[in-house]
Amino acid sequence: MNSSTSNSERGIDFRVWGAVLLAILAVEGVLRINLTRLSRNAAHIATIPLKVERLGNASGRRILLVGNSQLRHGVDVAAVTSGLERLGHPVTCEALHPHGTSIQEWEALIRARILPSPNRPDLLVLLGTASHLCAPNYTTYQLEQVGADYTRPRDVPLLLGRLKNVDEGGALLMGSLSVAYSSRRATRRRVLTATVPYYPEATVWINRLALRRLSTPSRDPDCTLLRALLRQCQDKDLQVLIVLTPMRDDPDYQIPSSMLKILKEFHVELYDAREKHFEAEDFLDGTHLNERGRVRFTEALVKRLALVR
Amino acid sequence: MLFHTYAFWLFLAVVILLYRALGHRDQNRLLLVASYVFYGAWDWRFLSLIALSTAVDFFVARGIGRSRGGSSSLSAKHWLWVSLSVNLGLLGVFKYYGFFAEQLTALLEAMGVAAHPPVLALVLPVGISFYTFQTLSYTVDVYRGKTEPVANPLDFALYVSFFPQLVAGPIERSTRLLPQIQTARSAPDYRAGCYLILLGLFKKVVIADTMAPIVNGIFSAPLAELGGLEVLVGVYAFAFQVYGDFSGYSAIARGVAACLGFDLMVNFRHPYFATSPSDYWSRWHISLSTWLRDYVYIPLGGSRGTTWKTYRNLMLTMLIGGIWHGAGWTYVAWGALHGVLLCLWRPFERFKGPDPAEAWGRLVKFLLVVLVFHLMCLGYLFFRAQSMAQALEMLALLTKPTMTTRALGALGVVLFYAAPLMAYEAYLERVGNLNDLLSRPWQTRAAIYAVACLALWFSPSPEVHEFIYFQF
Repeated sequence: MNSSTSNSERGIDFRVWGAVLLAILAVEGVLRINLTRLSRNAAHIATIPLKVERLGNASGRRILLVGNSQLRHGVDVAAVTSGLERLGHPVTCEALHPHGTSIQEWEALIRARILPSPNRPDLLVLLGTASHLCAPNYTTYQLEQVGADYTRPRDVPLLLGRLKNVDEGGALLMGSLSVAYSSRRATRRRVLTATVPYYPEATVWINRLALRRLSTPSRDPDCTLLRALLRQCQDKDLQVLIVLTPMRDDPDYQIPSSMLKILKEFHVELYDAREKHFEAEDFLDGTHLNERGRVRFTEALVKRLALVR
Repeated sequence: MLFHTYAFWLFLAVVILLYRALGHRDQNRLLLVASYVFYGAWDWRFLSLIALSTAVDFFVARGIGRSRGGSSSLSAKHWLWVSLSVNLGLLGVFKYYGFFAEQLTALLEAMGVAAHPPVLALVLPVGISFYTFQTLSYTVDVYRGKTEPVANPLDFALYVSFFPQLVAGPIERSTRLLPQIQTARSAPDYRAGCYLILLGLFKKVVIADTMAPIVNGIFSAPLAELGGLEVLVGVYAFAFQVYGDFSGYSAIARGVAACLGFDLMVNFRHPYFATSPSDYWSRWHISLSTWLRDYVYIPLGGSRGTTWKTYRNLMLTMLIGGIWHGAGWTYVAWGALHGVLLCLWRPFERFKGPDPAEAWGRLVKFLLVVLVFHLMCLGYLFFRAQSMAQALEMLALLTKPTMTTRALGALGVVLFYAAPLMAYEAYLERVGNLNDLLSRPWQTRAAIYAVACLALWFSPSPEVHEFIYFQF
C-alpha cells in the first residue's frame, strides 16, 4: 500500500499462510477423529450402512423410512413395527433421518447407499412436506451435504450434469473434501448454543419468520429430483410410498400438480397425513411434532402402511 | 460474479496469472477485457451502458480540452452539459423513472385526474450509480482543469470499468486512479492485498451474512408480533449487516486491486467510533461523502455563505445522498435525517477540538460514540424499512420496550459476532493505523489470520447473499 515498501514486504507471506493452513488442517483432523462423538447427525449418517445391512438380513417385509427431523420427531419406528405386527403384518422397519435434508439429499442417499445394495428394502417410505419433496434446485448447503455424505466417485458425472455454475461445483467439492466445512452449520449451532443465552429460542423464532417469509414457493415446481428418484426406484423394482407430514403453520398448502402428475406416472401412492387434522397441541414448533403428535402420527402411519400391498 | 463466490476467485486467479506475465500496456488491455467479462457475467446487455458512458465522457473531455484551445465550436460548459445530461439521464431513466412515474400518477389521481404514464419495468443495472459518479467526476475535473483529457480511449475505458471497484466502489477520482493506469505500476502488494481480502471476507461472510437472517426476519415480521427490544435488535443487526457488507466489499476491492499493483482509496475508517454526525461522514463511504462534498456541497456554496445557506446546502447534499441510494421515500427520509443531524450538530462542532477525548475526557468520548451510533441506527431504521409506514410503526414500537428471551438470544448473536470486530477496530482506532497488523510479527499475523479463516470456515450462510450496495 505504501509505495516505499520493499518487494519482500509486498510478496506473499508464506510463513503466515502456511501457519494458517496448518491450523485449518489441525481442526479438520480433530473433527474427523471425533465427528461421530460430537455430532448426533454425523453418528446417524455413519449408521446408514449398518441399518441397510440389518434390513437386508431381516425377515418379513422390509420397510425403510426416509425423511428428516420431521421423521425423527414425528415417528416412533419401534411402534410402527409392533403396530403392524399387531395388525398381522410382520415387518422390519428402519428409519434414516439426516438433519435438515430434503429431496436433494434423499435422492443422493438412496442412489448412492440404498439402490446399489443387495439388501434393498421392499418398501421405501419418503416422508416430508410437498416443498421438501418438490424442492426444485440444490442450495449451497445441500450440495455440501451431498458432497460430504452421499457421493461416490461414479456419481460425479451425473452431479456435474445437474450443476448450474462453478459455485455449485465448488460447494460440492468443498463438502466432499472437508468434514469441518460440511459440518460447519452444526458446529456453529453448538458453539452458539453453548455461549449465547437463549440462542435456541432466538433460532426457532428467526427460523419461523424466515419460513413464513419464504413460504410462497412457486405453485408448480418441476420436481425434477423426485422424478429422477422414482425412475431409479422403478428400475430397481423398489416400491415407494410418499407421506406428506403434518404442518402447523401452513395447513392449507397445495400439493403441486406436477408432483401429483409424477406420482401418477410412476404409480406411486400418496398418503397425506394432514387429513388427520393435527392440532396446535400436537406440535413442538411449526413443523415438528411433540410427543402427543408423535403418538397420533405413528398410529395413523401404521394404519396406512397396513393398506400397502 | 460476487466477490465471495468460487467463480470469482477462479476468475481472479486466471487474471493474476496472466497479468504477471504481461507488460504494462498489455496488463491494461487484459484488465479491460477482464472488467467487461466481470460485468457481463451479470447481464452482458448492460455493457452497452458502460460503453456508452465511457464513449460520451471520453469525447466530452476531449471536447473540453479542444474548446480550451479554441478548436471546438462548443464551449467547455456546453460539453460538460452533454456529459451531465447523458450520465444523469441514464441514471434517471434506469433508477428513478419508475419511482417518479408512480408518484406522479398518485398525485394526479389525488387531484381527480386519471393518469397512465408508460410503464418501462426496467431492470436496474448493477453498479450504475457508482460508475456514473466516477465518470462524471472525470469530466467535471477536466472542466475544472484538475485533470488532463485522456488521450488513450482504452486507458479511459479501464478507468470507468476497473473490475475490483466497478459495481460497488470505492468511487475513485481521475486524479488518483488515472495516473495508476497511465504509468507503470509498482509491484503487486500481495501482503496487504491478502490482508484486506481476508478482512473483507470476514466482514461480509462472518458478520453481514450472519446478521442477514435476523434482519430479514424482523423487518418482514408482522408488526403485531414484534416488541420494542425485537425492533431494536433488528436495527442493531442491520447496522452491523450493512457495515460488514459494504465495508467488506470495499476491503476486498482494495485487496484485489493491491494484488494487481493498484492503490484504491480507503472507503471506511471505523465509522461506529464517530463522535459526531460529520465525523461519521468522514468515516463512512468516504468516496461518496467526499464526492458529494466536492461536486455538490462546495459548488452549492458550502459553508461560505450565511448560516442558513450552509444549512440549506447541507440539507440538499444529504437529500441527494439519500436519493442516490435508491428511489424511495425511505431513502429520502434517511438523507433528510442525516441533513438535520448535521445541521443540529454544527453549532457544537466549534466547541470541541479534533479529538473529544483530549478535549472532554474518555468517558465523554465514549458517551458520544454511543449516542452517535444510536442516531445512525435511527437512520438505518428508515434505510432498511420497506415503507415509510413500516418505519414509523417500528419507531413507535421502540418506545414500548418489552423483554423477551428470543430478543435477548438474537441480541446475543449480534454481540457474539460484532463485538470481536468492534474490539479489533477499537484497537486500530487507538493506534491510528488501519494496517497496523501488517507491521506486527508474523506469529501475531498468523494467529489472527487463522482465527479469521476458521471463523470464515465455520460461518455457513443459508445461501449466497448479494452485497446490499449492488442495488444502489
